[in-house]
Amino acid sequence: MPCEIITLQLGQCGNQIGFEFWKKLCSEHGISPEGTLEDYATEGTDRKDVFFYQADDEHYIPRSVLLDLEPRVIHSIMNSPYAKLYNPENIYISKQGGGAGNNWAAGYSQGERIYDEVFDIIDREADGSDSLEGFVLCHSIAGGTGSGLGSYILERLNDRFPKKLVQTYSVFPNQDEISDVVVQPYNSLLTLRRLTQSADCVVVLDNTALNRIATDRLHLSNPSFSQINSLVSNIMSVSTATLRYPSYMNNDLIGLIAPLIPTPRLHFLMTGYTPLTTDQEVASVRKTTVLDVMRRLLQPKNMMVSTPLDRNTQHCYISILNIIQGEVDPTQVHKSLQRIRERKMAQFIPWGPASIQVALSKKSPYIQSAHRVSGLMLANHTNISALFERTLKQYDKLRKREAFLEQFRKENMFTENLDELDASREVVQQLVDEYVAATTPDYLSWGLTQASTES
Amino acid sequence: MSEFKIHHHVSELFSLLGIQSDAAEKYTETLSESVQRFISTQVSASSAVRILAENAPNPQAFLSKYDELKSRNVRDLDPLVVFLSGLVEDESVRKVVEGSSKLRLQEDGVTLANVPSIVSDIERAAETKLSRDQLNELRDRLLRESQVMHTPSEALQSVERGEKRPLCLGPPIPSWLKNRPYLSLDFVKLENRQEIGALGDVSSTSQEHQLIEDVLSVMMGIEGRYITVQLPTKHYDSPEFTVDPSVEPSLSTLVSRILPLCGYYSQLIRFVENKSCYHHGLVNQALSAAITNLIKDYMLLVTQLEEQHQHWALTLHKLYFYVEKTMAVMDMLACVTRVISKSEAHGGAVLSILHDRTVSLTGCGQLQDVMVFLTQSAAVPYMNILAKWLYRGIINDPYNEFMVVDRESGSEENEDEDLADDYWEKRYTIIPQNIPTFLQVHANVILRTGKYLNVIRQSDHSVVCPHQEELVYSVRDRSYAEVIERTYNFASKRLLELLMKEKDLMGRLRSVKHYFLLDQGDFVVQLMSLCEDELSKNIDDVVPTRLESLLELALRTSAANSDFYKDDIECDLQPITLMTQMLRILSIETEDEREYYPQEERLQLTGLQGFSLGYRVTWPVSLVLDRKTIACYQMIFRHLFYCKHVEKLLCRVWVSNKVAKSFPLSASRTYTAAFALRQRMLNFIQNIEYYMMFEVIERNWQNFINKMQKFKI
Repeated sequence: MPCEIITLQLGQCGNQIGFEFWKKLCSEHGISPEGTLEDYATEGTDRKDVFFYQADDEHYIPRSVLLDLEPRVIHSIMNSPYAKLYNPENIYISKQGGGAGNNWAAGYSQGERIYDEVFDIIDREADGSDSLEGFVLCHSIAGGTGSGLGSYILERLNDRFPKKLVQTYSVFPNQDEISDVVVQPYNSLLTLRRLTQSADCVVVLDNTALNRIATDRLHLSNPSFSQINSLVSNIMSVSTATLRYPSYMNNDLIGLIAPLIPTPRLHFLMTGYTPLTTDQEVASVRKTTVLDVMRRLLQPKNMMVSTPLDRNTQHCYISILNIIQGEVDPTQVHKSLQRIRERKMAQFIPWGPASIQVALSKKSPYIQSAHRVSGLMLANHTNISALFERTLKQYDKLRKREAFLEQFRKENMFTENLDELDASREVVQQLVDEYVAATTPDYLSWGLTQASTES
Repeated sequence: MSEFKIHHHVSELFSLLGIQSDAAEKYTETLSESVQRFISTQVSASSAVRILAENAPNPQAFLSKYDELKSRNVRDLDPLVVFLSGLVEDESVRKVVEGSSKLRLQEDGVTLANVPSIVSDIERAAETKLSRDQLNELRDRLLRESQVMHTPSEALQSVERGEKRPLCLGPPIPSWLKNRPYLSLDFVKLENRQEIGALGDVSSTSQEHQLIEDVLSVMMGIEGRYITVQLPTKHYDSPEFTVDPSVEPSLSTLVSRILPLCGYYSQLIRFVENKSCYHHGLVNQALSAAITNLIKDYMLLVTQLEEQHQHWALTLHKLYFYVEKTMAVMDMLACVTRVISKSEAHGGAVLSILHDRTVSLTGCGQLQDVMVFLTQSAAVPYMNILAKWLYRGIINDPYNEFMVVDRESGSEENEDEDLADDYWEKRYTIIPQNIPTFLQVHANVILRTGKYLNVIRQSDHSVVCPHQEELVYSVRDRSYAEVIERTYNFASKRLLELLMKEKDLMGRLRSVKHYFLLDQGDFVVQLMSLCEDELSKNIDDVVPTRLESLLELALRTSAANSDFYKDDIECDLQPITLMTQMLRILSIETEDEREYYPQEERLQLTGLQGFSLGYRVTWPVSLVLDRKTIACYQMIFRHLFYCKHVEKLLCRVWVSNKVAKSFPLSASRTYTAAFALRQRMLNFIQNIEYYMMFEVIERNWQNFINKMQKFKI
């Protein structure tokens, strides 16, 4: 059983999207909420063993670890029909039960405390798989547990499993509404540093964009968490579709990620999905073609990351991978790519070969979709730096006023000084600079000249 | 007809002709073009003959030769002529052939250098048409290639065998047939003829009476008193008659008008006698029997005439009037038999001649009826053989008359192995000269029908065509065509059912696609990571059994586990690289390719370079997935597999690079150029994989599936 992937769900947000993700996977593979195979799914040629393993009684158990510092969300999961799906040993709720109080530092330091117990679980899962390929981490970067504990676990994962891939699905906070978490900019900045240095691939899920899509595209006046989360789980399941439904190519995680990320630091990916539908909305079924899907994927309004248009820098795509599902004729793909190239719909980096890569994937046979073709775009775009710049700006605003730093000073890491914050800011600033540099043709020598001037 | 095959044959031909030329490419081109032309246009032979005649040093001789061959009904004469005229017109080819044939003539010590060699070659080829002359071989090769998919050497062998066999067929001919010449009335010479006086001395009435008596006896094959007979030198020619010169000229003219009839009779009798021998085959015997029937009627006529004569009611004029109609029929019969004897036709060829004649007589009422009767009777044994072949797939053909020949009877045990490879192409082949012309259009259908039935039978299924009808020859309503069509439909349907339903051919092909075309991606990933250590060794150090068990493991642990046919997959290590293998197949040896030949490659070959999968197929699926096909799949597999391997290596580099993101900025930036290079390589390999897999393989697979679905049972 090659290329297994272990999912770690952290904090309130992480557990919620994780829950939706497993729900989605179960329905795609024909697995009941109890983990048993549905009668119609016994003949399947899909690969369930990437994300599931089988217990002695043949029922499927997700390779999933649920972690939280407060019991609320996990309890609600345990009260859902899917309670029996998870391995109870893999659910860890901090005994203190107080949560991290939306404080990164609190989450991080609690991580140190519960390290042994958490890594017992992770090690057990890792040993249980034949050739583990990597980890997928679901969390948000704004709160306390997902960001703080998540940061800590990211660092430790990198130490313990240096050859394994670590992919995260990171939820970025909504910028349009005023957050009740006042220290959000601190939390985000500190987490961003870990995401830059310890994660191999970060799929950015921007709550701003997700809300916008829900209201504008899906016409939901007041989108609920679960509606947003089902958008996210959809992205997560499609982006792993080629692993679960093997075909000619992209049958391992590395084969998906490696072409998207040319240089190790620039590993923040945007996503886009089309056609978007909700359960309520059935009437608006339109004709989908490969060209139509690919064109829509290139439109900013379908992107799940909201980035302001920056006129000063020529932002461009570093790489694009389109995962197209459905009844697709390879010739159509070829023609669509040609059309997109002719119309110059996508701008690419000037310093290397880049094009839209396409992965054709099968669809789950058990889920009926009204649309013939659907597509997910995973894109590495330099424009994402705007998101980090925004975080930096907000951080600078708070930091100037030295606001809300008391709660941080309570924790060990910050008792003596606030160097950690400064160091994180530098790392994120460098990341932004590198993204901007990647838009220029001399990106390859950019590092060298700067390095030589420094020395 | 593949380009490579032509290429191969051209290079072989070149070496045969002893030409050291690098221009093989050019000739291949011209040839493949001309192959197209041969198929598309039925070039009229007459213009070709004219061209040849113009170029020949002795046009008259050439034309007469051509006519003679034509009269012998030689097959493929027209295509040959067209081909030769093409040769003559093509300067470059002519030069080469000229040069080489001169060389050859010198080598052979033949002093014919003054004869323009190309024409002499043509003449020689024409004269020795049925022998195995070297040019004939050339012609045979090229023409067969252009028409049927037989390999040329095979076609030649068939010609050889077809000629040699008849000599030793059937039971021996009893000696009394030769010892007793009186069994049929055909001018057996009386030893002692009485000397008689000249007939001219008596009155003209007596002369006429006597002549009528003589004519009547000559009509029955008995030499008359005043009409003498000289037997011909060749058995198929008519004897010559001499009338007593003293007879009145008016009578003698009348008699000489009737006399050809007697010649026809003699020819027919001799034909019947001759062809009744065993080795001439069933068709000839049936034809003889039919002619005997006709002769019986003829004899009846003679008897009736004689009766009238005895009542003194017959004059020569009357006699001529009575026999005139019969004469036309006999003339025609004699003519047909003559052609048959002359061309030594046999089996299907006889029927061809009969049929052609029948068709050419359309509108001639009675004459055609007679011909139809003859053809029908002669076709009975042939049609019986055909029916057996069509309904049961059995060839019962003791005299090699049938158009299909079984090359390999008796060794059915090893059909799973070597036989399957050649079975489809070589087991049953068509003998072109044995196809009756009226079955020409159905020839391939007939061949296939029986072939299908045989395949079904050899797969342990008894099969008999349900609606068996007797096959009868007819000119107009082509009832036999319908029957052939129906049985063909039945046989092909059964075979299709056998292959598709019972043997699940599509399932097999899908499984081949999973493994050889890497459709089952997770299996390949699994296999590659399992076998990596083993395959990175030198190919001589790889342990096949270990590889086999790793393959097994990969099959069981991937999604391939649900494939029903996964156990038929096996490992196959080949001691040459893919490049060398392909070069060997193409057998092109020009300067460009030569540099790709590695030196002593076996020493450096890793297991990975030689690794390939094998696939065990059983009869009758092995007909479709024969060794050649599997070899093609293997080549594709080796290429794709190696690409995958390279991709894997690049991905591994990526993983080892990821540590750089936690480096301080100044350190990590120095690597950027290297990362970009790696990315460029990865980009390339993934794009080429995508192209091969989705745009080439998957697209063609879809086409294939669509086509297969059209032919649903």
